[in-house]
Amino acid sequence: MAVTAAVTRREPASHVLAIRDLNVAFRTDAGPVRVLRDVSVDIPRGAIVGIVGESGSGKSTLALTILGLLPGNAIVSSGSIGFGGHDLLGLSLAELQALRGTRISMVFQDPMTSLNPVRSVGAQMLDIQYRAEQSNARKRAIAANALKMVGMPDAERQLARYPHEFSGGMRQRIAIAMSLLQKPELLIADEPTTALDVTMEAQILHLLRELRTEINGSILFISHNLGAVAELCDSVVVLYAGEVIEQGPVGDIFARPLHPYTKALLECDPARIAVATRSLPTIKGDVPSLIDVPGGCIFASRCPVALPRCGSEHPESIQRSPSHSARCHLLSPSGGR
Amino acid sequence: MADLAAPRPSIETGAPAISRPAQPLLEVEHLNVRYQMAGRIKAALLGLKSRFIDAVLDVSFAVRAGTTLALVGESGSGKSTLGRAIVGLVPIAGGGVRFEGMDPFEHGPGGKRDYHRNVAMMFQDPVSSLSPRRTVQSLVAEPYVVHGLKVRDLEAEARRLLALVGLPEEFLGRYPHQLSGGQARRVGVARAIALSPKLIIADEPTAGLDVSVQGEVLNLMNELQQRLGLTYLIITHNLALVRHISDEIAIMYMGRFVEQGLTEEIFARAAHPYAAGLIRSQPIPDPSRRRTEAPLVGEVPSLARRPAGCEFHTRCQHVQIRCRSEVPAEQTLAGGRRVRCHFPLA
Repeated sequence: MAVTAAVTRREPASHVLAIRDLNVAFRTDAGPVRVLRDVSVDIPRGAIVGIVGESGSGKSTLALTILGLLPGNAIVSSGSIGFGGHDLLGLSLAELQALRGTRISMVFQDPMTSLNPVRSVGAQMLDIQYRAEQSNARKRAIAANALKMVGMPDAERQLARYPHEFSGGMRQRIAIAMSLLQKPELLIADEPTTALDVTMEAQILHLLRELRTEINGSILFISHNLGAVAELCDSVVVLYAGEVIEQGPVGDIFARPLHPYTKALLECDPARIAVATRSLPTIKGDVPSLIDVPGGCIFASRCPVALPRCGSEHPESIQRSPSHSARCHLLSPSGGR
Repeated sequence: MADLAAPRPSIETGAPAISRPAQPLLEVEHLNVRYQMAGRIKAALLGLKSRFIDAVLDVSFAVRAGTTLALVGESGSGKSTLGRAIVGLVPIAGGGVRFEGMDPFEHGPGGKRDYHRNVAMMFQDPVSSLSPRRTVQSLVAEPYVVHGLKVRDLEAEARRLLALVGLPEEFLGRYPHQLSGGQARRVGVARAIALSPKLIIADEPTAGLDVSVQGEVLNLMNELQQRLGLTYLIITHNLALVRHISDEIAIMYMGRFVEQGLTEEIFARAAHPYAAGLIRSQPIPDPSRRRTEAPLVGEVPSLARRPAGCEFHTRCQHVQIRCRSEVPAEQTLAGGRRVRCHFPLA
């Protein structure tokens, strides 16, 4: 592959993807909406990294930025996305297209809309292999094998069937099989289990974990479901209103969260509340406007432990351990004063 | 918050809402709902055994006034269909519904008008169930207009309802697209309580909401239940929530109730293997307690080809020979729990 784009910053060899200081905004009539601000995330080779955030946190925008699929009104004002020695933001469309589906692939939330309803599963899986110089019989065998890998019974016969003939869970298995056809180094899964029932969700999470050991790729798992992230991921990035407010190993994030938002989010999850209660915890207030982004901490207006400083001064990311950091004044040596 | 002592709208509210404890508010007996899959010719050509599928099969339960019953099941289990059948939105093929001891459908499938005043429905996805061209005021006041009730001051009434659901007055002039997900749910709640119903059937009241917002909507529903003496039938697939918000649960599989009883007891120890598997399928938000395998394997069979015997036997870990041939009858366990299994776990 002839990629000529300038390399702005080379990611360490141990990382498959290195996002640095990424800023993305959407042009609107009311002014630019700054949906991602100074986002830095590393995905170690072979790891499953979870991106957790509520609606409007920018988690799907992050996935689309990596793949170069942002809509026309998006502006990437600064930052870099290092992948395989290149900055993805500097690649031409043709160069990006050469990466998509082969070295980076994506699984979307709703398999009914991501699969083509008028072509058979087999035909679509052959289409994906258009670059490979192999006989169609060989491509069919590869496709059938991929379906077998995701637990599809009677895989050869299924190739002739159409997406509507499968259940939601089976469709998502097909979408995952398609995304893994070219053995990508990075799989981006955007809410892949949200449209599924819990029994199917448990099966898909289990499948993703098994596949990771088989394909030795990395997974960026985007979800609002804390339970799914806890089940699957090695490390977690918490996004709030377009900022990474905390990131660290999954055990630390769930057992010892540092940021007040992460703590509040975990407290809200009914599955984590041991004793049945009719009065469920909530996070008071609303996400601030991302057109006039507040100058201080982005969570200050809703934070139960905010200090005067939090309203005016934007906190830096503070490292609590080599792998666990959070953006909160309370973590600074001066204790926020 | 709202002043509950405010005079109620000048409508005939009928009998005072005093519940006789001996009689449940809602009783459903051996209810069946069937959908036609194919016409006679197509069925003959395809060699189908039956032209119909049974979406709800032999369902019986009762809800006491002032309590919450949660209907739980996977997609296609028939829980939404059951809710719709109770309000008369889909025809009932067999069995019956009794509300305060009376059959609301005795004079026709649509049901009596005062039944619809007493039983309100909250639909899934409030943003799409609210007309985008109407203001919140007109949406909230719509039930009065639909029922042809004369209210002296619709605006004052809309204001009272918004206050009850915790929305400020300035929302009266807003349109659905200007509402957040949580605000739209509140408008949905306001519409549901407009005619002072006794029973509210809520279909997935928090689906699609963020975890920090879903608590607000459920806390509001709980508060209204206490203040207005409401009875809830909540349809959901979210078991983590059900544990907190319901007194009793009924678990549906392929249109049947496989287990029903007190929420606390079923969560402590489910008797039906499907109920137990469903509860264990919930992802655990604690990485130190990861599961090594999915608790329930396989998929729900097609309703057009129901397995013989116990319909869950194709996925059951405890299956025995008898389960493959003999349909289990519903049995009542100690403590009043009802389960449809030959070999209950509890």
